[in-house]
Amino acid sequence: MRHASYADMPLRTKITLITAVTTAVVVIVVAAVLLTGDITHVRTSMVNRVSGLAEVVGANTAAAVVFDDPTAAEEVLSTLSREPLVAQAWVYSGDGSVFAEYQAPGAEPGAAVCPVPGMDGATFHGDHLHAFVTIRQGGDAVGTLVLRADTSELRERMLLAVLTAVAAMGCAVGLAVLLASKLQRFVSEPVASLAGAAQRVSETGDYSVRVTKRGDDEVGRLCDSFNDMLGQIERRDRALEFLAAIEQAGDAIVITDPDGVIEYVNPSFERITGYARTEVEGKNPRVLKSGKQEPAFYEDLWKTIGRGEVWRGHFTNRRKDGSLYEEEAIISPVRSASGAIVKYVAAKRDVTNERRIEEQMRQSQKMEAIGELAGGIAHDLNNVLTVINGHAELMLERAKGVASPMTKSATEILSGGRRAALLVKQLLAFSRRQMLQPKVLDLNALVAGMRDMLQSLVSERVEITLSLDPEAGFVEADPGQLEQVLVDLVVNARDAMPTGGRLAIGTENVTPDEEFRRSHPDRRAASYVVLSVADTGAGMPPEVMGRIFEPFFTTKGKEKGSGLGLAMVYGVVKQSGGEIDVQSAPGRGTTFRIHFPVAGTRTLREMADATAERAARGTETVLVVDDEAPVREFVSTVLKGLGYTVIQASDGLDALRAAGEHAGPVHLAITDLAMPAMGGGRLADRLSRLRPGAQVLYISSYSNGDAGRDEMLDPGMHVLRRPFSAETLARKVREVLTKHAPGSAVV
Amino acid sequence: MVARGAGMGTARLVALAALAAVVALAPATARPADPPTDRDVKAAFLYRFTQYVEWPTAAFESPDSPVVLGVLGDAAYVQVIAASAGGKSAGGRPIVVRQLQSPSGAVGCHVVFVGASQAAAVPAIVRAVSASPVLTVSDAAEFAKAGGAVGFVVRNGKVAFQINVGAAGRAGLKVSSKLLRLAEIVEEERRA
Repeated sequence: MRHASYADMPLRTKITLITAVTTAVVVIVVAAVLLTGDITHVRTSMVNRVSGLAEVVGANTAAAVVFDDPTAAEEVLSTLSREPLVAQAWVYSGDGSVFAEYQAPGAEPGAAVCPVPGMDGATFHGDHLHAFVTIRQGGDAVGTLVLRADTSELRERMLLAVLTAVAAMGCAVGLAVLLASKLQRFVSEPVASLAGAAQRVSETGDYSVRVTKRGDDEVGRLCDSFNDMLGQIERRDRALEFLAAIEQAGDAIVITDPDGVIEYVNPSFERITGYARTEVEGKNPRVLKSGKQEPAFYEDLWKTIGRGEVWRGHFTNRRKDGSLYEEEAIISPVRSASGAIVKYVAAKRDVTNERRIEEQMRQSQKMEAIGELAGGIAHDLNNVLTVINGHAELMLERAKGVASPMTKSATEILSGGRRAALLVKQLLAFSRRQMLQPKVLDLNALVAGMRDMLQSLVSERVEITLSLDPEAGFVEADPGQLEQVLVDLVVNARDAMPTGGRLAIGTENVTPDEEFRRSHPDRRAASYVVLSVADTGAGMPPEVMGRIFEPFFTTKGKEKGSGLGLAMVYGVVKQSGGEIDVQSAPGRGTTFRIHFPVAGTRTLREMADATAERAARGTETVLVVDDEAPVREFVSTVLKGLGYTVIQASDGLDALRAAGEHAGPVHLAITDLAMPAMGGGRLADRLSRLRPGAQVLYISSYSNGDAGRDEMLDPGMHVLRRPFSAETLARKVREVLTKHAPGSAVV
Repeated sequence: MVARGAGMGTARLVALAALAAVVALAPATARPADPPTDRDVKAAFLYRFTQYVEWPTAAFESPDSPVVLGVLGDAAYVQVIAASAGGKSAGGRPIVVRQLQSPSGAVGCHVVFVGASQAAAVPAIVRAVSASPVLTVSDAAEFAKAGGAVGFVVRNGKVAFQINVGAAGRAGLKVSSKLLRLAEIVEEERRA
């Protein structure tokens, strides 16, 4: 591993390096001191030795010199051979000439060294030590002895010492590195674990990490400080999380001081009210006041929280844009440790939508109840009117065109009775009790086909525009009733635009949104076709909007409308499995949107038509029993068209008779559940004895939502619910017959 | 070590300078123009013998009594010897040179030199000082063998000397081994 610089090295490498360098320096210094001392000592002892030798030899040669006996001097000098240090020696006589000389065996001969007068002692000259001694005789200087000593021994010794020092340094540094690498962990490990912890914290953001302290040294104190800092960060982090929780809460949070001055609002507050934080901080929450609450309401609020109690309640407040919204609030006093109220915190929830949906639910329940009532009355009234009108007709028939006061009265009765019958019929439509003949139809074609007729209904000042989605799906509805619905809506729009305007009729495919599902929880279709009728008229306030579908509710005045138009629209749409909603505000026009479940898409629909038609065909014999002739006729016509043999009967007894008279087999009986004289259930019971093997398909007049009220409906029974289309009928008949055909594998 | 080397270099320079000075001064030092004569050498030796001989304490009257060097010979020789040894000292004592007129004068001297010209007086001198602490020196032939202590001889044209250790010992003198090493050691030849 290479390191760019010392600063980047790991701590353990640094410690090892420092130890090695320190050791090396110490060893070098110690070695230098010892070596210097040693060399000085060796030199000194060498100088002393050579000087001493020179003294002795000098003294011993003195006599030879004074008696001029060089041979004797050389004899003395030759004793130097015992001393390997001495390489050469010269004895100079007083006149400076060489008197005697000595050359050590094997020594390198060198140039004679001349004595310097008066300079006794030893000096180093290069590789040699020169010792000078004045030879004295009785106080007179008679000559000089010069010794030349070889210092190679000294050099060798120095070299050896240096080598020893180098070796010692190498050993010491090696040992130091070895020891440091083993012992450095006592220093580096705590630091490394601290560094590791710090890194872990910074990478994971987990401030709950703590480092283990190993001692009370600097690192230990650093650990304490580090842990302490982590603790502080953790606490601060937690406080930030609390703040984030408040910031991200779905409810609006408002914090005020004890005087009610806003200190803080969260983003939900900004979103709900439309006020930015900076606009309301420092202000009083009364900026939201709508005027819908009495002053006493606020007094009660302030009294409650001023006492230190929690206040719960409902506000109607005003947004920055002026619109109103419904708000549920809990306002709590916040007390300090001493118990004084230091703040108020309000958690507020915008319940405008919930309120609206509740209102819608209430509305729909109300309509349900009114429908029940109106339907019940209309049904009974219809019977009465049948008698009245019947007898009025009878009277006129019996009068045979002869005019008399009585026939005039009868005509009036009949005229009034017929008007009443019409009202009753509309009421029945509202209460979803009229007979519908639904079929799968193309809304676009229906609307387009009515355009001229609708235009003739409104004045030229009303411009009708169609925006029909060419991909709009098919719906299953009674075409005649649907036309009536459209007419009623257009008439309603016309009346809302007495001075003219625009009327937009449109179709589109929609996937139900959350709001639709919430306001119509029992509608579960995956996709809908919407027929919308929008005007640019006067619009209406919410209180009117809530009642427009009620029968006899009208804003037009007695003479202009019956008050049953929109009620009938409501009933027809509901009975056809759809929903009608209205959006309006005063001065902003009104839009009706009718959701129909998609009965088929265009292309799939066309393909399915052919297939279904083929598959639904049959040749079996079907007994059709219904006291309502139109229904009976509809069913019979459809089945005959598909190839079935059809026997018709108007009630249970009639059916038993017809079944008895028929020569061939009877495969299936389609019967209304509720019939006068004999109901569908009893008929099926009797028929099973007369014609065992015949299947029964019941027609139920009640919608799915009212299934609980069907009489005697067992899970195994085949039921066809009204309204049904020809295709539904065909499919159901085929399904029942195929399932129970003798050849099919039914166990 | 490098610094040390530089120091040695400096020392070497100083030594060279000193050497140069010596070489330059060398011609100026006194050097006898003529080679010394045997008489000069003998006179110098005579003085030097006093440096290598120890007399018994009894030979002197007092601690500062001089060493008396008696010369039995011609006046010129006496003069040379006086020039060589006069005013010098031996063992802390001044050397006094005295001319002897007769062998009897040898008694009371510490060193007696008998010149070759007085060879006839040798036996008398030897006899006269035989029991005295007197170092007898002579350049008479075979002086040491004749019972004298130190006798000059010429070897290879150079002045050398013979020492009769027995004679010196009898006289109670201690002759330094350094001197003995330079001398030819001889014994008395007994005449039949």
